[in-house]
Amino acid sequence: METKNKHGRRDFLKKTGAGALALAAVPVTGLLAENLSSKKKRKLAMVIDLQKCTGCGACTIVCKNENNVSDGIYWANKISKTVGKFPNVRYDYIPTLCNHCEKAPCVKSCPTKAMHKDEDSITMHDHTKCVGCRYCMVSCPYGVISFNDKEPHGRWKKDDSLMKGITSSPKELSEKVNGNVIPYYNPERAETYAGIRPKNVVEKCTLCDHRVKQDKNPMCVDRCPAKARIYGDLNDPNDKIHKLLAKYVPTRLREELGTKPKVFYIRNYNPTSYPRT
Amino acid sequence: MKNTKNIVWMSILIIGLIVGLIGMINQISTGHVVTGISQQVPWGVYIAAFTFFMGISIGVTFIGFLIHSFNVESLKPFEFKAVIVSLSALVGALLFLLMDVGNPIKMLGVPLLLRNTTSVFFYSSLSYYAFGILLLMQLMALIKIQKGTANEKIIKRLKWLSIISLPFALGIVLVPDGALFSFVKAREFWNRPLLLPHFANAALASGVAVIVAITAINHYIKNERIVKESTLKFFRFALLFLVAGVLFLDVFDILVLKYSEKLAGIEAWNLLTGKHLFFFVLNLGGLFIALLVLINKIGAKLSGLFISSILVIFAISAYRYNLIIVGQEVPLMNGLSAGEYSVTITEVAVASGITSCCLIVYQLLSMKFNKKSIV
Repeated sequence: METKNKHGRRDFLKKTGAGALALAAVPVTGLLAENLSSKKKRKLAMVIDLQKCTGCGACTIVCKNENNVSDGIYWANKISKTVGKFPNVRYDYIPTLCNHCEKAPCVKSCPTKAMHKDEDSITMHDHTKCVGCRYCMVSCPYGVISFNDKEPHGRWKKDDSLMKGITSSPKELSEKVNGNVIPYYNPERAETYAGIRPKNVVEKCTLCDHRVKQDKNPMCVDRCPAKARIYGDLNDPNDKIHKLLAKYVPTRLREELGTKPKVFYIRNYNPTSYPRT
Repeated sequence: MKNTKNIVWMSILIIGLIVGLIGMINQISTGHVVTGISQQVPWGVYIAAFTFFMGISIGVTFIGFLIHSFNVESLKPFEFKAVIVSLSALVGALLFLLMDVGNPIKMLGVPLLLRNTTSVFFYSSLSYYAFGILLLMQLMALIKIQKGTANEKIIKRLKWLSIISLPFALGIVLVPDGALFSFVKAREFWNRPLLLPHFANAALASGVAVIVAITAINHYIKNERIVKESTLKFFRFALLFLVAGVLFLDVFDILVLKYSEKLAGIEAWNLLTGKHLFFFVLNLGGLFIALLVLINKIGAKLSGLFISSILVIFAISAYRYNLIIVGQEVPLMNGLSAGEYSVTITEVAVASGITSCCLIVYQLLSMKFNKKSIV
C-alpha cells in the first residue's frame, strides 16, 4: 500500500513538474521569438550633416517628384533663420522631414490607427482609415504633417491654355504624357501608399518606404548633391550611421518632449566650432 | 402677437439655416481650402465652437443635478429647459465636429469600427454617444412625467439620471475633451495642468448663463412669469461663484504667460495682446464686468442677471476661440513661422447655420413639450 502511494506521489510530482515546465516554456518561447524577430526588425533613422548641407532645397524638390506631392504640401521642408542686419548676418538652414519618432505622438493620438508604425519603425499613414480629424497635425511637435484641403493637383485638371490652339492646357499635357492626373506621376509611389492622396486626408513623409523595402535609399538621400543625408539602421551595430553618431554630438529637434525622433543633426550649418565627443 | 413673434423668430432661424447649408455645400464641394485652416493652424473656429457648445451642454446638467441631489425646488421649473438646452447644444457641438473633419461619415463610425485605444479622441467620441443617450433617457422620462403616464420607477429613474448626469458630464465627457488639448505636449499653450479645471469651470458658467439668458428672454418677450425670488438668488450666487472662478483662472493663466521665459509663453502673450486683443479684452473684460454687475444691487434683479449672463456667454466664447487659435498660432519651434488664422465667410455661414439648427432643435422641442407648468 505504502509503495503504491509512493509511486502515485512520484508520478503526480513528475506530471506536475512537467506541466509547470511546459507552462513556463510558453512565455519564454514567446520572449525568445520576440527577441529574435526584433533583431531582424530594422530601426531606420537618418543623420543630416548640417555642415555639408548647402541649403539648395534639392531634397524638397525630389521628394515632391518621387511622392507625387501636391501643391502647397511639403514632405521635406526646412527651417531657415536669418539673424542680424547686413553685413553682420548669420543664416541658418535646417532641413526637416518627418522624424519617424520612436514614441510618435501622431500614432498615439490617431483615433483610427491610420497613423501607425511599420516593421521598419517607419511612421506610416493609411489614407483609407484617415477621417481627416487632423489631431495628428495638432499633436506633431515638428509640423511635418499636411492636410489635403482641396483636390490634389487641381491645376493639372484645368482646361484653359495660355494661347488657345497654340499651347496645351494642363489637362491636355497630362493626357499627352501618360494619361495620368499629373505629367510627372511616379507609379512606384503607389506600391505601398496612395500614388496621389485624396482630398480630406493628411499625408506626410514615409521615408520612401517603397524604395527602402527594395533596399534602396530614400530619394532625398540619393539626390542630395552634398551627400549631407545619411540613412541607416540603428539596430545594425555595423551601420555607418553609428560611426557618425559616435564621432559627433548629435542633436534632435525638441528632444525634451520625449518623442525620441530618429532624425539626427550633426555639426553646424555655419562653419563654426561644433562639439565632438 | 405671440404667433407673429414666433413666426419672425423661426424665419430668422430658417434663413440662418439656409445660409449655413450654402456654406456647407461650398465647403464639401471645394474642400477645407475655403476655411481659414492651414498646416500651422489645423483647427479653426469649428473646433472653438465645438468646445463652446460642448461646454454649454455639460454645464447645463448642473441644474438637474441640483434639483435631484439637493432638492432645490426653486429650480424645478427649469428642469425640462435644461435637458432640452443640453441636447440642443450637444447636437450643435457634434455638427461642428462633423463639419470640421475631412470625412464625417467615417468619423461617425470611429467608436465602433476604427479604434485606437491610446487616442483621447477615441474616448471622447465614445463619450458623446453615451452622453446623448443619457440626455435622451432624461428627456423621455420628463415627457412621461409631463403626460402623467410616469410611474414610480420612471420618477426614480429620472432622479438618478439627473444625479449622475453632472459627474458623468464632467468626468466622462469633459475630461477627455479637455485632455484633447492638455495632453498635447507639442503645444505648450495647452499643455498646462490647470487647463482641465479651467475647462470645467467655464463649462459650468456658460451652462448656467445660457439658462439664465433663455429664462430672461422668455420672461420679457413671452411674458413667462416663472422666476421666483429664491430662483434669482440662486442664479445670482451660482453665476457669481462660477464667474469668479473662471476669472481667477484666466488671470492666473495670463500672469503665467506674461512672466514666461519660454518661447511659447512669450509668443502667446504677444498674440493675445496683439492680433487677438479684441477677444482677449472680450474675455477678461466681459467676465470682470459680469462680476461687477452680479456684486452690485442690479445683480439681484432679472435684468442684471440677463446682462451678466450675456456677458459671460460672449466672454467664454472668446476664451474658447483664443484657446484654440492662439494655441496653434504659437510657432512650434524657433525658426518656424507663426501660424496665421482668419475666419472666412464660409466658416461664418456654416457657424450661423449650425447655431440656427441648434436653436431650431431647442425651439421645436420646447414647442412640442413646453407646457405652462414646465418651462
